[in-house]
Amino acid sequence: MRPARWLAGLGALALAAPAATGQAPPPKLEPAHFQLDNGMTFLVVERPGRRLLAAVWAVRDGSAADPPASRGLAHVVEHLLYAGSRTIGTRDWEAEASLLGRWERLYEQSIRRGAPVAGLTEVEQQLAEIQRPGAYAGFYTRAGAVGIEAFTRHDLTAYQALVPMEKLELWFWLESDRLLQPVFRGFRRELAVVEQERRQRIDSSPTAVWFERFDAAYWGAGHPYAHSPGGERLEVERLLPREARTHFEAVYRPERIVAVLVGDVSVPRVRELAERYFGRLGRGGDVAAALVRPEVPEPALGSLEGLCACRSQVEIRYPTVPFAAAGDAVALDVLAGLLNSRSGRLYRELVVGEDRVAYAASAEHVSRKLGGYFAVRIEAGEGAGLETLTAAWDRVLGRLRAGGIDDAELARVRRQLVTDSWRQLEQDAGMAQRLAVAEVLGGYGQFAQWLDAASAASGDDLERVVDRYLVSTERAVLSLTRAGGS
Amino acid sequence: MFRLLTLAVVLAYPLSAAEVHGQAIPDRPEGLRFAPSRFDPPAPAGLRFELGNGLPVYVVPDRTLPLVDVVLALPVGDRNEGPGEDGLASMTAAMARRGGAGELGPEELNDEIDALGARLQGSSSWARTVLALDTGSEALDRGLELLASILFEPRFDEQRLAQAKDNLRVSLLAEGDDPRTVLDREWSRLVHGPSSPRSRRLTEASLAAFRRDALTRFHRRHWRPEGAVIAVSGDVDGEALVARLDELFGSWEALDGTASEGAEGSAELPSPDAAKRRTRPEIAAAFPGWWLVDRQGTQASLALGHRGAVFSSWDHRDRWGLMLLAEILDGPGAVSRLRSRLQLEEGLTYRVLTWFDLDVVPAETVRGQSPVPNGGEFRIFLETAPESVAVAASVVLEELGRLRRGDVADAEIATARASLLARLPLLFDRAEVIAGRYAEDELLGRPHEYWSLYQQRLGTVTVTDLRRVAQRFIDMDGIALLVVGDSAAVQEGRAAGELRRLLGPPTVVPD
Repeated sequence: MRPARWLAGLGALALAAPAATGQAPPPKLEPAHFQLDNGMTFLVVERPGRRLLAAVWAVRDGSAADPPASRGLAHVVEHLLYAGSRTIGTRDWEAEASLLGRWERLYEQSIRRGAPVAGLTEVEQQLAEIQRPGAYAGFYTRAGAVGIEAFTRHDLTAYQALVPMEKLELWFWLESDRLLQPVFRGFRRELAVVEQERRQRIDSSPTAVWFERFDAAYWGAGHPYAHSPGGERLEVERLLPREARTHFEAVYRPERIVAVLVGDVSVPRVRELAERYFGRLGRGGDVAAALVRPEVPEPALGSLEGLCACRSQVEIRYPTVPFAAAGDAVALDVLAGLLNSRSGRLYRELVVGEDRVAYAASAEHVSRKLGGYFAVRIEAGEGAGLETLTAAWDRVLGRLRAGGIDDAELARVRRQLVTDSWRQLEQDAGMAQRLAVAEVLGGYGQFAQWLDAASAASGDDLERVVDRYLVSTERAVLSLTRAGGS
Repeated sequence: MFRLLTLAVVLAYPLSAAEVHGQAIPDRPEGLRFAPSRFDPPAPAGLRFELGNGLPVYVVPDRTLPLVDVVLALPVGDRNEGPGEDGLASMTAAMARRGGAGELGPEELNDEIDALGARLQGSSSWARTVLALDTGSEALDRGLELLASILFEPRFDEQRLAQAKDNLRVSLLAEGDDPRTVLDREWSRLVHGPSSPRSRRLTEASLAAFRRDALTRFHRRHWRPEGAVIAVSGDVDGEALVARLDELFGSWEALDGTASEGAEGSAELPSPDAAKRRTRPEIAAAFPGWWLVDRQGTQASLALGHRGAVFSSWDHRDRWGLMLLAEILDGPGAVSRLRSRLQLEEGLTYRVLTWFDLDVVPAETVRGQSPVPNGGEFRIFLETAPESVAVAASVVLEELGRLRRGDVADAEIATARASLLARLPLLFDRAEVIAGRYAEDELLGRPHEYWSLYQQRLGTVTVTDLRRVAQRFIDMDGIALLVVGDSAAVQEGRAAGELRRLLGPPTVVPD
């Protein structure tokens, strides 16, 4: 799984400096913001005329909160939250509850013994008579909702739905219900689906396997980002329902949840529904006590080489700073903009320029809550060896260090950033997701602050972060050579 | 200029406890009552303009943001490639954008587009070539000039073309790396036959044919105004925009007929196993049966199906029925059969994807060529563990058989219909989508009335209709199953015997 692109996620709704770009002042986004008594946060963007409500809610923890021996737990809980509740997904909750208790005891015994114990299959057959898999999503489907999906990243877990406007209350009903009284039914089956997802996303992709290993080497053992959100197969296989419930109770607390609604809604109506439905969620206890948060080690900067059924390529990573909407973090984001695009340095110098060593090249600044890195990825062009890729990048870097960023180049990047920020306002679902991510990372106001800072970034700022962070002795390199040669 | 988008709202809306708790929460979601909702697609009248040369333009203004999207689409694509021209349509579109235009060399063109903060892309698919401009409205005028320059006077720079060919060679080397790419390639050959234009693939030989003069010839021959359409949405004034478009594109003239001959459908590649090919009417795959590409790994990919449906009219009764049938089989929701069986009940796959092409060949065609000379496909795709391939494929076949027997409940039809109708507004959700939808109507020969009939027509489909269309458009004997995965594990997996009984033994092909 590739790292989350926080720059793309946050690269900003709003507020450019007109003087810097020559453009007219951009649109301004200030979502309504309120908090329920139980601490749950709501952001609302009114977009009159929309027929669909884009709704996202997110918890402020993702795979980085997985316990050390249960890597993948947050992702499994994300899947289990579609299994329904005491109301949805069952024909008879009382009968099911009793059977589920029996099943869970037998299942734990099976996991301990490493083989199914007597009676497990029979109970599962009885449960199958009572349970209604897919009932939760079925309500949305019959209502004409689309985009019913969720994702687990390192720093958050988010749930999305696009619901016909007139069925706004259905969203409140279903989402509050599964938070209020979730039932993690179909546990074993859902682990199988999670395993299928892992095979599809990671195991089937020659490069994804290597990037997962590179993440582990780069961050180092024990770092919360060292494992992908999908987790470790052997640990996922041994997860127990009670571990999933413990995680849910620790993380899915109203004060740690932000909901974002974008559509033809009125804020008073949303607030009234929020109070009525989500107001039922009780505030949790001491979050710090509920979640064990070990010290975060420094990145290990481990490099990696390997053979791969893929184009030969390198990724060069430099440790940077955690997410921020100001200072060096933003200058590094702008630097990535300067390197990318068809007029950017990487394309111009490595793909079509005199060096012409690359099939493709890109840069990104990945910044998360607990740390960040600047990555340059170069895929080899015809006949180019890996050593020539790294050397070519060092020459690009040398020219940057020599102070070669002119005003026209920077103005072009700024203008692209500003226009991109408008584009991010076009689609409601994307906007809702980005607002949720921003709120989790430090507050929705980061949107505007980020673009302010990006618009003000100067050539000196970019040269400063090149000198400070893009240091050849402080980098990790993934080198993949095409198996069987070129 | 644009108006300031005002999305700011006040932070606090105090409510009393009585208001908050005044309404009870129903025990179940069925207890919720919703206001009735009826969606009528926006009227196309008033959105359509014509330039001096008759070129249609659809304009849907939306002043919310200072952005404009412009799409110029031509009814040209892979299907227009002649023998030895595989990939030429896509290469022409890509190099028109990348190879410089008019007075601007490739680098100058890139710089200018990026300096505008704009995006300008050229792309091509089976039957369509598109130039797409996405720009801030203050840069629209220059953006349009650049688009016109790319359309009329691409330079196809020799050096950039050589670089692009080098990169394509690198791509060719890596073509077999991804099992999904292998599946796609072999699937087209199984379903359409190796000599079909649908099965063409880029090769070293076709790369060699990408010469500047070939691109120039293809451009001159096919990039013409007949059948072309422009869609514009966003921060524009319709009348002023059309006047400007007329200046830029209104004099674009058609060539005389001698230059317009396409090479469509004329390619004949040798069949690797002509003896095995079955000649079946309409929809059967060219090579039905079970095919297995042996590739080691913990995951297998499979595709199952045959050719898609082709109708004589967009309003053909069976077309509406088949839309509903496809929704019942694998609509985007938990209630569809394949998702229920394969994911929710069996936990066999993370996702299943279904394509059921419902192409239409209208009586009047653009440039004398059918929009779909070779039809599309009906494909169910999923990935699962190799040992689960047979059981997953058997489940799919079982569900197809049920549909053919007419084993469909009224409630299932109602859910599928409600789901399709509820998604209709999504097809007209934003200005960009509305302009694109109506422009696409023009490109495909689809009457605008199709959208106003949509609700009524879907409402009249019956169980009897569904059984009829299932029997007509699902051909159990004509199904091809292609698996890319560990052959031994697949053949020893659960239900492998049952699958052999249904489709016969697999033909194993080395990777």
